[in-house]
Amino acid sequence: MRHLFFTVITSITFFAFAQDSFDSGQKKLLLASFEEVWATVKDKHYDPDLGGVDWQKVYEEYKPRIESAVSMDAGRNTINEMLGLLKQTHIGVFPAKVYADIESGNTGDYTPGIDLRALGGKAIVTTVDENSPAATAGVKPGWEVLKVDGKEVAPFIKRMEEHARGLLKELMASRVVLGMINGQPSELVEIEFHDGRSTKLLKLDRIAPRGSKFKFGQMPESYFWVETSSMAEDIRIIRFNQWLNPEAVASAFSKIMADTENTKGFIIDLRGNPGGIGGMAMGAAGWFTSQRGLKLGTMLMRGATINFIVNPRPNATSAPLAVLVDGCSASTTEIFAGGMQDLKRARIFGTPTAGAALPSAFVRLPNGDGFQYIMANYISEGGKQLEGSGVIPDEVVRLTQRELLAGRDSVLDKAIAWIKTQ
Amino acid sequence: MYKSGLFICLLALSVPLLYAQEAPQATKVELPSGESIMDKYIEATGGIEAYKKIKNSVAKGTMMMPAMGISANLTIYSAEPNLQLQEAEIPGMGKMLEGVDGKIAWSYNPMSGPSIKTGKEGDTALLNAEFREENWRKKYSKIEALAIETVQGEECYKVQLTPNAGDPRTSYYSIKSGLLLKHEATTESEIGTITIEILVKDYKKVGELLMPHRMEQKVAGQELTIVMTEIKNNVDIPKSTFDPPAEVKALLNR
Repeated sequence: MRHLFFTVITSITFFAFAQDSFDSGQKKLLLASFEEVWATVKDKHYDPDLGGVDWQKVYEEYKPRIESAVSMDAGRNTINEMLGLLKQTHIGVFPAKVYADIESGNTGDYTPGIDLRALGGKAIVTTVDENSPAATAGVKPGWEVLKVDGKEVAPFIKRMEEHARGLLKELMASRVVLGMINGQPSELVEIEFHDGRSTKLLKLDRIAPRGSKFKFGQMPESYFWVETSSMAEDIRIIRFNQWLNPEAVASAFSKIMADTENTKGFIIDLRGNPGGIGGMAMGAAGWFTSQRGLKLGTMLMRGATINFIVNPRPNATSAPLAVLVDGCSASTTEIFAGGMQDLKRARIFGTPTAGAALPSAFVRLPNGDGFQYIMANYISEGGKQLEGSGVIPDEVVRLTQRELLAGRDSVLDKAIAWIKTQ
Repeated sequence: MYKSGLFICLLALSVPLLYAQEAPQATKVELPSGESIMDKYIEATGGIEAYKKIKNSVAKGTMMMPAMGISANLTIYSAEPNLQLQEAEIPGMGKMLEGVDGKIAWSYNPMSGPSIKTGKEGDTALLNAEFREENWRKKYSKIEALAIETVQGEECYKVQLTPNAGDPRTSYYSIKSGLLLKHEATTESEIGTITIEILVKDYKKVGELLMPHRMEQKVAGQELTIVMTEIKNNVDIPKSTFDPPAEVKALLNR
């Protein structure tokens, strides 16, 4: 899951680094990096007018400042200042050291089988996978993670909450702690928990993440799962951890859409879902409306404007639909939830999403820094730019440690209660 | 013929690759009629009698989207009068289908489900599925040579073709060989107005006809290359091949 950091990395206010020595060779690399950044924006930014910014004039103003930079850090700050003129997220240069900081945790995706969220400055377990080492050891939702391999997690959460921008705090803080917990399969991880009454020190095995490996194009290989279930009064639920594997997701939707005459409603649980293949949002929406001509939103690219249309399925349902999101829901999840909210076809429950909806690309610059730039802009059907503002639930419901310890999922409970009133 | 159906290519997959394109320089000279350029094209690719012998074709190859790291196996079934089925098997995505059954144009894939193409999008798909290229006079209400431009290093006639239904398109025919070297079109669809540019390359003999085996496309700024490895004409294709899938039929019956 570590690659997920890269989708949000430039929204971090960068940590202060000691200045490097800066020789003429490095100066050349900085200048080459500046040129590449400037040209990339000029040639590839989705808006050829760059919001009215005179990019040639910007070049003439900033090039002398790069040439007179006294350090790589100073030069990078100048480049970021230049990019700041565009007044957009998902565009910025970040030092190679940021990669190292984020990856200073363990390498590897193997896990003891827990998911967590940073809630009120604490890392709280939200789910425990069945038959996982954590489940076998008795770990429960609501437990607080205090230390991982002897390191306190609170300072990591605090640092991310201080430096991550706006809505990304929860995503970044949660991911940093998971990055410490997950690792190689051959290594035990020692976690100190607080179970609400006392501390417990557990040494847990790491196993392959839930689901099966999935690879699509140049996206990094990752683990994918989808599950369906039904509750009392025939309320049907579908969950999937990423917008991947269209065949499996379509098959799961087909399953919950069968024999729906008495179905009271549907819940799509997209909490923690960081996105994936954008087009899948259109297909998922089509299960919930038979009206043609609807769209979730519009993607603006250089040379094309793509409507995220809704393709009604033959057996689309009109039953109530609740969508669950949280601060770790991003990208395609936001496109889906935001669009369905705008179309008034779904009621959204949970906490505001990450506000990280734009497709962007990463390149390594000649000086080793990373450069993220925007390839498109996305406007939800209601006219909202989801980037930076996220999807605000119709009913904001926050998980609490106390409720989790009591075995309750207050977000799910609220959604069920709403469906029952429809 | 299979190549006329290549303009419909899996737009929903797109992660855009942005590119800048210089406007080619046009040369003002006396131009032949559009009709004579089309006649020369038919002659250059085998002649009208050779075309008449072909009843259907099956083309197999690979579709590559290098920016996305995607490579798909592609099969295109075509038959007279206007039957077509494109199957692209994309790892991780499943089977992407586009078809024309003679009356309706449709698409179906696991990602976005079934859909019926209507309006200009439907008209364009039906036009592209017309099997008999030699019958171009029946398809277009106006054919006009606009200019001479260089494409793939060859001087070409730039010809605008206005169909009876659907959006106009522009084709570039080599002055020297008569072959189609480039095709441009702007198509309106539900997902938006899409600009398509195709460089047509690698002509090889298939029976008596010369057929292109490589198409380099830019669709909404995204690069996509199709390489055909096998083209067979007059093969046994069951007519049911062109029937829409049950999910599409269900939409039609709703």
